[in-house]
Amino acid sequence: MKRKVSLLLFTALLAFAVPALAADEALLGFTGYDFKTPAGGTYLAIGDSYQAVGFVTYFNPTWLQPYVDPGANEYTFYQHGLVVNSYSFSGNFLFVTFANGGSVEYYEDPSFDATNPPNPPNCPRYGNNPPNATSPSTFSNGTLAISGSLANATLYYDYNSNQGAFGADMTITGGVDAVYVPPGSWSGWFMSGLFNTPSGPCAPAGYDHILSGECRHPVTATTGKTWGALKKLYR
Amino acid sequence: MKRKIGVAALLAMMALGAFTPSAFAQCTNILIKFDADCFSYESDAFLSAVQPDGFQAWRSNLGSQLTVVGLCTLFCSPLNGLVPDLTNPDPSQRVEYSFVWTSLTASGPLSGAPGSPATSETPLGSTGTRWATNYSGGHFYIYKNQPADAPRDGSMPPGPPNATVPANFQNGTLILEGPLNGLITSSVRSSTTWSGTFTTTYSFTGGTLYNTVLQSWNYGGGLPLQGNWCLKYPTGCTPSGYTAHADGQWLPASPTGNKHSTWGAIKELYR
Repeated sequence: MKRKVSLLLFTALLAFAVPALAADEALLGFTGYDFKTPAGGTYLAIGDSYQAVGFVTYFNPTWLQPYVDPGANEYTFYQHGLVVNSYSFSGNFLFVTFANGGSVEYYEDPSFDATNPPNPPNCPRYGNNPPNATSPSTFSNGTLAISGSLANATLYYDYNSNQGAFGADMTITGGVDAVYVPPGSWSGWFMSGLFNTPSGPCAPAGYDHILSGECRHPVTATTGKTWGALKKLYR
Repeated sequence: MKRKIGVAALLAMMALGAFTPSAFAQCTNILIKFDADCFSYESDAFLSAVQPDGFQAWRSNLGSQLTVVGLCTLFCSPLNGLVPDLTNPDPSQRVEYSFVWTSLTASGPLSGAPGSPATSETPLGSTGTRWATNYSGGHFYIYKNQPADAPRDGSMPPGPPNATVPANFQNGTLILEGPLNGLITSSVRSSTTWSGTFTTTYSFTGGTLYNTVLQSWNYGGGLPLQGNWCLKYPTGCTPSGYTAHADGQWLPASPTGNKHSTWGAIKELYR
């Protein structure tokens, strides 16, 4: 009997030891371009809407990788609905915040209409001066794989070093692949870097930056302990 | 005969297309992309004061040595023949393209005696904070290795350098290497949102694929290597013992421009 209890305890300890190995998880990585509407005027003035489109480049190896097939589908994203509600520009440093209410959607689409194959040599269908006939429409069609709401979004750009970043809290709200993500990890962190003005043969006109980023989920650190050590805490 | 060669060439092109890596879908002015599996550590870093949201930021002291390790996830033309395979059911068939950045020394923007803070910390708005660090020097190395053995996001062993970091990121065949022109990191916390970036420039000077990038591509020198930089502690980005998480990309140069013309038009140029 004692042996059985020990075995059970050992098994339980093993089970509880697993979270100790857990660490931050990245859900998705992506690359693309951002733009604002209306175009022109002061960059991200109060009331401007900030949007981005592009392709998914990374899938969480446990939660998503087994369920995606980049050979048969393109995976795109469309981020929208973020409206600037505060603006400051000082010392060549731009900092804006956005009202809550934005969202981001990731799509699985067998048509490859955003990719525009063969790519290369064809350029993806970003088109010029978005929104246009192909953007965001070809980046927001197909099956909605994962959707998320954005909150506490901010963006900064340092014109001295020509770099900046976008960050927002993201909470998964749906999509057919959302079921593969543990419910405890539905709230997380979405962020993306802002880079140079697009350049090169495939660089579309009218976009503000080429960007890359990821949706990352912080996981609370835990430590594996024995019952004895736990009991000691209360003695 | 010519027709046969033409058909063979067409078939070959079609076959090539059939095996074209799906990663091509995301090739938009990128040379090499890396995502979740990239982390840095330093020889002399310290934590900022606890921020209002309960988190802290990693800062650097002058002279601190920064090392960055990571895994490439996507290669684009002219490197599009390289396809990482980290999920093959047969572990012995998994192929990784890992990289290491070394010889980066924290050098500012704050100045002072070696060991004093290099990272600046300035208020942002009413509640935010902004951190910036400059590193000098730098060199990158990219390796192809099979079977893949580098630790990945979610299982980074604590306290680098250790048995596998950076060792398992710098084994296999050295395919590309080159100098970095320092590194600048900039990070911002505003209320509960953290974001940040890094930027530098690079050029290629060696590796087994040096000729590929040299001959196929007018890459010049000083091309951008940029991305996100997250120094949030204790959760959010940095596994135990690591000071930042990065994701980003080596950006390509614009290919040399060309224009269709006729022999007649070209002759005209010399008349």
